[in-house]
Amino acid sequence: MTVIKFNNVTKSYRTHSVLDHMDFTIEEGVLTGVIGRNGVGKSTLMKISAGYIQATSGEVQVFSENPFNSLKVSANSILVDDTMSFSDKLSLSDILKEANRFYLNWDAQLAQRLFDYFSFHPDVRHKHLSKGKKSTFNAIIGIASHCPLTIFDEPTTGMDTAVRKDFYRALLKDYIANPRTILLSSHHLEEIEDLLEDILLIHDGKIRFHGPITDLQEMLVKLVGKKVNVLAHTSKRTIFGSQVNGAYSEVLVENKFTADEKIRLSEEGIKMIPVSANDAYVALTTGAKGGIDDVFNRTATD
Amino acid sequence: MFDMDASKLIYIQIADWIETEIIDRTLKPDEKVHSQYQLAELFNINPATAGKGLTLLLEAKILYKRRGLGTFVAPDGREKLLAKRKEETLRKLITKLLDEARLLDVDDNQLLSMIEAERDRKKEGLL
Amino acid sequence: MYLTEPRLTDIVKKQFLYKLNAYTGVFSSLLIMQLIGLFFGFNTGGGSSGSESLTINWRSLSGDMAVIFTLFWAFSTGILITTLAYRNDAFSFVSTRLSHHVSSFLFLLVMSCIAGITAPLASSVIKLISLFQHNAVFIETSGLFASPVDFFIRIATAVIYTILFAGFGYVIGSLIQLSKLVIPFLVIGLFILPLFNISGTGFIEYMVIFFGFETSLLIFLVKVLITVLVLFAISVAITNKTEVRK
Repeated sequence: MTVIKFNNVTKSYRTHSVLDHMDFTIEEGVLTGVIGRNGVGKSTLMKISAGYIQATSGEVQVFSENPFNSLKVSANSILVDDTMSFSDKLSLSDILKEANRFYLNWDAQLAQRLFDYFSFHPDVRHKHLSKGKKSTFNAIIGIASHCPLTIFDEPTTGMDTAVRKDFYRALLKDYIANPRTILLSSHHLEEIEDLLEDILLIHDGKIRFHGPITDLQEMLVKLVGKKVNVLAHTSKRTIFGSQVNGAYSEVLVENKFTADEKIRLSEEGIKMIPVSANDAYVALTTGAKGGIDDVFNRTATD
Repeated sequence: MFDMDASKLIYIQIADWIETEIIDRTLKPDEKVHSQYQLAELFNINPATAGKGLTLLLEAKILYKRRGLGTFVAPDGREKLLAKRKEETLRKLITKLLDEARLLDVDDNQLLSMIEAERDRKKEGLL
Repeated sequence: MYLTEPRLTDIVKKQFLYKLNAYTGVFSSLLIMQLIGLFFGFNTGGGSSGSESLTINWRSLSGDMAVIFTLFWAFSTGILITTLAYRNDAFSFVSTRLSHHVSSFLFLLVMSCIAGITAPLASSVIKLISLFQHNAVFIETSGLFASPVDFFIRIATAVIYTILFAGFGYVIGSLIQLSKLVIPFLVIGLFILPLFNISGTGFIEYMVIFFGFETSLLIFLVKVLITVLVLFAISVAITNKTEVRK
């Protein structure tokens, strides 16, 4: 079953457009990472899916309904981000009670155990929590609500490393026990790489890649060897990134080599090294401007 | 970025791990293998990715599936793996060894005696 | 994971209860406003007059101030709960714009009833206090025991007026949420143009005549109910596209 469907969706503000004729579908039960540079529209995409904001044009369907003003979408989805706010008249334990009333799949026991594990005080007000603690508390609501569509937008903002690891572990365990559709965005792809099944890579308001994370990992390969040898093999290929270190060079190219070519590479002492999804993502989104090295190279030659 | 340690993709690591368990007889023929969900929890990875590791071994007929029961080690799984590892891993290591020996001007006799010496040393160490 | 099929009434009920818990600030502001009203009620006027043989010292006390402050409270509360912060709070849990409006409106209705009932009672408090302060001749407006019908009419009138003011606050708040430009237009339209006696601009004057000069409680009630429903419909219509948690 398709949970989210974007058909030619554009979202523009007065001065610029954030999502540019975007098409994609998210299937039920898949944990998808929404990845992209700052300001490419990850949050916009998530807020449209949750029905908080409206697309400028195109068709959006969540659970086969337009999510904007859909009670069904609101009741079956949750979006955890830093705009989650709660009245300061409510204590943290009050908020958990309210969440219990609103979300029919709410797991009160799990919520309480996570609440205790992360040492929250029941009488504290949400707005008095530190940034990291606020994120942790919101994440607990996101996990315990067990919504068929659970969306986390940068859920680990402000969390320290230990808590981040705990959160991702908790999310994975709960996802295994209660499979559901999850969208998760993060600036740190390397942190969530192993957690994801699919990846939705946004760049310049468009989908740059959407599919299993292993496909992204196998899309590119890194050739490492003597500069001359590597150059002979890469001159006719699209280069997604390169770095030179003395006589050796390292080049990112598409992972399209025949068996014969692979043998030749190994004979010439060129290593084929798999690329992490994070490196592939950086390579795919660096664009025509080149890498940070090019910025310095250009000034040197000017 | 110059990371010379050629780390493998995670699902291939999973397949490797199960292979090693079969080779060292931790997993015996017709014994049930961890499910993709157990593997996911064990390695802290997505169940779908863990499933890809299992698929790799199913396709190589090292594992087999029983409907509704799970995945099991094929009776001849270990033999297949031994053959595969001999072919792939051992041969690669030998090629490397020969390349290195040539680079260091070590001739064949010298190399063989070095191998024997090393084997003896290891035997003593084990005793 | 199975999908839930929520009913609007069910969600509205949950949100109404949530708002009763979350908006307790509205209760305390009511209490403060009525206390201020009481305080002003003690200082509305006084003086002395008399001849050589008799001197009358008089002081008038009024409970009207408590009612006036309550109306002001209702108006500002109406505006307050349309603000972004309150809306985002609502959308942290299950909500649509319609369910948010309906539950907010129910909340305002209940609060207005409480406020409308307590405001006339505040004048009774004034009487009680003054009774202990002065052993003087006491001329009062009819109380619960002196004239129960009058007393109930006063309470009913206060409740209906409070709902009306809250309704106006809510629609103005909704307009402001739509665009901040509404504020100068409202100020000019409601308060400045009438000063120049341009015909057709005396909106407030017209409202006072329309509601204030109505002598039948029943017709007054119908007038207010229709007005409030229209105001509510306007609020829903103009904010149905509002984006939240931006």
